[in-house]
Amino acid sequence: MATQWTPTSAGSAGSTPEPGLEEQAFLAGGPGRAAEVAVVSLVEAGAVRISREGLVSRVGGPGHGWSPLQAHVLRRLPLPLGDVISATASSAEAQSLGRHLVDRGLVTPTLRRQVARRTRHLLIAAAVGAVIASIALELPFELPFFSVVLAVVGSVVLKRMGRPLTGAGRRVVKRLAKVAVSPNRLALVAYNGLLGRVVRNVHVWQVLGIEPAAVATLRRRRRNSGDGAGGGGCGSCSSSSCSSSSSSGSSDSGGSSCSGGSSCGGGGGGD
Amino acid sequence: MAAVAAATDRRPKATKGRWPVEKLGVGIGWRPEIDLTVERLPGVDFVEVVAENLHVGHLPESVLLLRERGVPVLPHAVSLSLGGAEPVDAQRVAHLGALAEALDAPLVSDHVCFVRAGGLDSGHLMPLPRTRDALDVLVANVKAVQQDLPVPLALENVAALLEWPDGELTEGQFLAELVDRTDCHLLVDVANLYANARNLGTDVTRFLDEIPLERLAYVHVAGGEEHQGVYHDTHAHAVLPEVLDVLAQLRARVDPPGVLLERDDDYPADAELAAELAAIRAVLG
Repeated sequence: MATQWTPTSAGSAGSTPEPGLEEQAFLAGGPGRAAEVAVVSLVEAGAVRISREGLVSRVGGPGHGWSPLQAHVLRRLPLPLGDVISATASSAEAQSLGRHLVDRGLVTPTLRRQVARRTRHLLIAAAVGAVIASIALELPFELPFFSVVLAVVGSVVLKRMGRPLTGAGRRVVKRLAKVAVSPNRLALVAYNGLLGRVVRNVHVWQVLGIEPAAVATLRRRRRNSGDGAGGGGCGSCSSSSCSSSSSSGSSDSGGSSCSGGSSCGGGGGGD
Repeated sequence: MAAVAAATDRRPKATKGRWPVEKLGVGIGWRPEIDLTVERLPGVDFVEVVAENLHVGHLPESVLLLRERGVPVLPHAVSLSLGGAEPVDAQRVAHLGALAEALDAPLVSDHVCFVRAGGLDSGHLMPLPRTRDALDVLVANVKAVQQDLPVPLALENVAALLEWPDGELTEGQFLAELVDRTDCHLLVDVANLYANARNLGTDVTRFLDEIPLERLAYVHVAGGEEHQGVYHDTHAHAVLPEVLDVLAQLRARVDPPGVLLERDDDYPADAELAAELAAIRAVLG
């Protein structure tokens, strides 16, 4: 069964077992991306089918051995593809997955990110204040100079501290990027998202054989949810550390947003 | 396809019912959940759509694709309530007719039943009392509907969990007289026949002996299951060998123009549906 597929060629992070594919997808694209992997893995396992119009429905009996995200998908069916991914991305199971990744040290805790972001804003505001005050009060040049230098250095450090993924999390995504090639259909989804491109003009959904009308339900969902085309992804694919390593031109999976200030472990992706 | 040619070559309404139905082959009920499956299954000669679920101005891409391939698409209605004491809803008939024309269908169908009365909709295909009074009502409604349909009408026997008291005719006699008085075609559901035999003790052999098989349009085959001693025609389970046995009894009497597999829920894998179609073909020989 393809549900617990792990990229064997990607190596492992020391003695820590490599995260499962849904976890990797979460790191690369947030809860929406993990939901996409859950749905596609069920399709690959023959447990669900996606109709031409995008209706996702169960095939046969209940089955067993599914991951919590997959089980959530199965409980919600039948639903249009975009809706089932939205619902799964905002489910308690997806939030639990996010917390699990925080516990594993792969995702930065929300509180830490918030503190880092606010501290950075305060630092910048203080530096600006110092510059204005030094001009108004005709203070020595050194004070605003060092204030600005401190603000710049501090801002860089705090920005890194506030990134959605930890260093270990970014390394997981980098390893995923190496195996996200056509034969590994689930890895393709995990890394690029269904709406991402495999190569120029070829999208992941096309490789998977999903019909355009079905994909349209994803696009509608993205518009409705207000996710920008470049948004999405708490993983380093949406950050500088991974974009350069991706030769596939990764793109948003459509709604797997956990950037833009929200927590990776939070909801995201919901309409 | 011959069946499509029959549809495009419209006959005067007064005589259309007398024409034999063209060969349809083996088909499957088209449903939105399994649209791609239906498109990809090998050897699907025709499909049936639930008329109430489609909009003439917005037909599913899959259905249009099948039509482009030349696959006949037959509208199957479930809500005309032809056996009801109230006049048949003209809008429902108009929709069925428009759908038949949009799909270039050779015929349309509904059931020998009623689904509403006194402003209430049962949500089920309710059996009719097999009395002459009920038959008169049914005949009048069928004749009225036929006048407004552009293609022949076939009527299907339903599965029932009860029989109304004081019946004057057997089910076969009831259908035979209906055909004789309206020139309608018959859509024989062998799964319903099996269900009635199991639950009500209907004599399958007698039914097949009594109905005018030369008016057979096509046949339905479906699955079901027994629950607390009652067989339910669920359309959500595998086709029982016993249902295929009824099909074999029918086949021994006539080569049906078409046989269609109905599945409406708990859709199995493509391979299972293909196997059920293969089993039907094996019975047909």
